[in-house]
Amino acid sequence: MSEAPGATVDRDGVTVGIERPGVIDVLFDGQWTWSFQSERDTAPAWRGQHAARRAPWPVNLRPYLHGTGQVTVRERSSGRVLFDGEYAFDDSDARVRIVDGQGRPLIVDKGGDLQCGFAERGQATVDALLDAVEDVLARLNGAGVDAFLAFGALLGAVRDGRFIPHDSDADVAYLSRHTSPVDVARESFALERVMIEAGYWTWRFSAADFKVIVPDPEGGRAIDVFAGFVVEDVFYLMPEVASTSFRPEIVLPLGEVELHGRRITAPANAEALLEITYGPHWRVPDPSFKFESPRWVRRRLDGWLRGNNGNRAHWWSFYFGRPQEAVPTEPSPFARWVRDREPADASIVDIGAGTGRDSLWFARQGHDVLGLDYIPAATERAGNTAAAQDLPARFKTVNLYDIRQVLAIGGELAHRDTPPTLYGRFLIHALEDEGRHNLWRVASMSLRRGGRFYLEFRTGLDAGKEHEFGEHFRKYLEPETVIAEIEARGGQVEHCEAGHGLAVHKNEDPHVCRLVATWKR
Amino acid sequence: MQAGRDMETLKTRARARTRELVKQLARATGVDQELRRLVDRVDQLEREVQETRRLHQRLAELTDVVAEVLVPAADRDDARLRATLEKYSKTSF
Repeated sequence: MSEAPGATVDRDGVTVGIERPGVIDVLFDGQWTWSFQSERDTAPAWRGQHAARRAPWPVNLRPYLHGTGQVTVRERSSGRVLFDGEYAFDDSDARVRIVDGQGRPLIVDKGGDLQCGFAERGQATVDALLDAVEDVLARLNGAGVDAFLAFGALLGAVRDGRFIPHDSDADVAYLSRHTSPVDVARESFALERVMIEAGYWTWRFSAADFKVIVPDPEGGRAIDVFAGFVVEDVFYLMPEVASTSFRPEIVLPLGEVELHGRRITAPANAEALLEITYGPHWRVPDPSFKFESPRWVRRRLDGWLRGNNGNRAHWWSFYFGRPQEAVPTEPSPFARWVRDREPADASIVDIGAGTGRDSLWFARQGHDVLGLDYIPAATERAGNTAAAQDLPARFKTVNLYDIRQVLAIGGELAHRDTPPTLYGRFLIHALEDEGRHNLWRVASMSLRRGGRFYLEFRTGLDAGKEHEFGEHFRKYLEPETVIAEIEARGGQVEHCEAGHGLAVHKNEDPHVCRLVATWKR
Repeated sequence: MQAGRDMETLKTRARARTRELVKQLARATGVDQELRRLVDRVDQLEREVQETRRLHQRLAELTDVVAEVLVPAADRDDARLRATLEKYSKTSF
């Protein structure tokens, strides 16, 4: 079949021909926004009668595609323009603008998140990040590991002596001396404590890598801290890299590279580590680069170190991006129902607080509130609102899949002078089995001296129905199943009702269960 | 041109016939059942391996709590334990 030249843009994505596979750049208003590989990132499609490939718009870009935009699609290697023109994504009069709150262009990074690249950032931000990179590396090395610049930051330093323009954070890694994943994980926990005690805010991605957030004049950048380790002669570098040809001399003794005029700690043979990381073509810039780890690598790293990520990808995008704006700001009917049943001075712990709509409302009614959620964007935003309005609510990032966090929060709540009121709205059905079982553990620890756990969740009768927030992981449990689980773990259910009309949102009236449980011994 | 197309058709038919014969032979000898059993077994083994791998993370988490919280708890000082727990929550995640 013959091939149509050019590309087509529509509401679903960008469709290109199949004749010359390669990297395709997509620009809005002449500003580079996103790149994809015309074979890897696409599905078969048709342009008229011609076989083609369509790359769907990245999920996090979609909320910006309203109104009409000036779109350019071009081949990266040749610069050949495949499409250049106005496209109306819908009927609104708006112009498509892919910018952040300060009007700076956003780009789609390799994780699919929208970021403001270094090219758009001021020197003060770059300086703040470099200061922090030096500080983090010094603290890691001071804690006894061999830490060095890695990934995109190392790549930019070796290629141009600068951060890569479309990159948005800095990465460091260290070579662990441990050879068992359990010890690698414990070491990473200890290193995170070093960073928190140094005053940094952190967030853990797996048991062997975490983010250090660096405050800067533009709101904060991240330094990712990745473990590198050898198990059974295979070198693994979190989050995706593995090599059977690694030798410790590639990293040790540590050397230096130049980054924006500063000498930064680097692997002994930076080029060799970059080849292990990005393959033999690492010198050629490719903003569409994605790690494609073999199945055996992914399975090992998932199994050893990434067991706590239950559905995080969905909620991460939801709370970091615009979808969270669709969550109502007024309290849920369930929150009002609970407030009517609890004393005015009840201290409320909202587990899975999300945007904090109910937590903040409870606080406005005078309750002392602790809001917990495993997505930092959610807890940070709600915490900022509470601080700005001087409300008695604080928010903390807690992951119910992590035993450490479950035991720590359960222990902390158990030691309170007065037992808390636990509150979990639309939480149960968002958890995988392990998270739900850990939730019962938190409840049994916290409520052993009294207090109630209020739960509202979708039942099996809601499965298969249309949902205002679309389809994603939901575990529909029947009330009797939840009651049996609670009772099996020492709890007692003092109230249970289920039906429609309890949690109406726009056109959706889900079948939900309201349940009140206690764990008093 | 026509002869080429006829040859392609013959080849396609021959390949389909061969596939069918192999299937019949597999059924007759029980090999297909054995293959299905092995595929299921590999699937089960992969799940079992992954379940075992997950213990690394759980063990790391539990030993972290034991070392940081339960060992200091041996002092039986409730105020200290409360402070230890608070510090653990504050500095560990």
